[in-house]
Amino acid sequence: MLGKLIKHELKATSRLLVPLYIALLCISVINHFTFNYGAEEGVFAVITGFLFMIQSLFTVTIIIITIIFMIARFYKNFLSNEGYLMFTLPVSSHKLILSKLIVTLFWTFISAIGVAISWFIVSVSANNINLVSFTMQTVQTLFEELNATFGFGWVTVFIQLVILGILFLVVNILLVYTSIAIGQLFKKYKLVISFVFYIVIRIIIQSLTVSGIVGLEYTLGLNETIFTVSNANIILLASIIIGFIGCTIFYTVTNYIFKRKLNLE
Amino acid sequence: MSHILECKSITKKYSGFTALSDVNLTLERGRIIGLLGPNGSGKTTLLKLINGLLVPDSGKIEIDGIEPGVQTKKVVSYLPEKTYLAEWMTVNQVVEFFKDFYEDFDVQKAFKMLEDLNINKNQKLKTMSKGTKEKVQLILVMSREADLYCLDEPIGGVDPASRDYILNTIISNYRENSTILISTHLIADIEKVLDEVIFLKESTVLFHSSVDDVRVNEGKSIDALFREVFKC
Repeated sequence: MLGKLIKHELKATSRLLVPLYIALLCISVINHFTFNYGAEEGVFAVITGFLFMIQSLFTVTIIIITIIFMIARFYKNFLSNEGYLMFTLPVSSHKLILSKLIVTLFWTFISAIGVAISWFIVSVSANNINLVSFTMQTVQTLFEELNATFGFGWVTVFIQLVILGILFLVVNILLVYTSIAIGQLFKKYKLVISFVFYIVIRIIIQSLTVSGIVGLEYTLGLNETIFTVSNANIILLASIIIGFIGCTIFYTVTNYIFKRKLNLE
Repeated sequence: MSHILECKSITKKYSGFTALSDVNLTLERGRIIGLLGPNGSGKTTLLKLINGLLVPDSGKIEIDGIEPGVQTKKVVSYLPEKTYLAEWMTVNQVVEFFKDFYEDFDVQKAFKMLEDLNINKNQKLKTMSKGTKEKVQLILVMSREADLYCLDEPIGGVDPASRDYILNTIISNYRENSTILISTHLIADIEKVLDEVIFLKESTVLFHSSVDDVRVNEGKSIDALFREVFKC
């Protein structure tokens, strides 16, 4: 059933997102030609500048639209009238939440890849900015740096960084879900309460993180920062564990509300 | 044969307001039952509880011996009073959706009924009138071979001609094993198909009896009795 939920969720979301990504790629192809073969002076330069601006705007917009659309989709599909259909399907609330989470992650990656490809198209064989070789160089430098700093341990560090990145994304998505779920417990101002709750939790997380680090440094009697190369492994591991705990808490709260405290209008 | 639905002293409150208070009900299989009562008497709340959209504060609900959950949703077909289908979908797409999730969904039957009511399979829901959307939803719900159908105001927004078709559909779908629970205000329209009635008043069950008993004992139609009981 999870597979079917994901299939239908992809159908529902791709109708907006796929045309958007295609539009991004089309603009990139046009820009590729204007940047590479356009004149550098006069009217053409203005047009080139304008198109470059559009390209940049589009890049930012596409990521923002993806995020907002996925949040709106969660709210509309589960907590508006459509919720009557979704919550009477013979599937558990776990699967409902997971299907949304997985599809949101999927589109986040796709939008990131789409943006990367669009800049690749624009810059490949460009005269002035050669983004491709620049990126390659950066990646190479990054790996060299990692190697130099961590020696043989850099693979572990790299894998931990990737896991941490995904966890960071998941915990943020789940926090949004929890906020929306908590907002719907109230009769009025559901979305306002969701937003306030989200901000409050954000502030609490920030303060806990800062005070945790300072507290730890103080307890250990360190004169310097705790973020040293030799501590990298343990810090990454601790962050992963904390991130995982955060995910578990937000997931459990959302699932509990959907299962026991649903309050569809 | 086991009861299809059993409610044992169910109470449900929303922020200070009691929607249902100590409700006891037992429904048998093979009946068409009218759930009647004025606005705010708890009809919709009861149907939501049966479908797991709400959880009772106290008491117990069992559908064929099981509390509402994934298992019971497989055998209960629910028509809420809301239009719950996504607006961007076509009729074909919603049929596909139902087919994917409900094993007991009969595609042929759905298309037959859509044809009878002249509903275009390729039309998007957002271009339909409210009445047509309600028809589509009812067709989807009735195209399942469920054990229990819960219909919340199924004919409220539908024109009288289609009402007859829909009521006929409901009756012809009647199977020995399944029970249909219909909540409505339009008693006169629906009275002829009912086997039993439940009157809800101020969050409690006023009475639950067979339609024949009401006619014999009270000497009047359900509609007349309703008007008398709930006279303002």
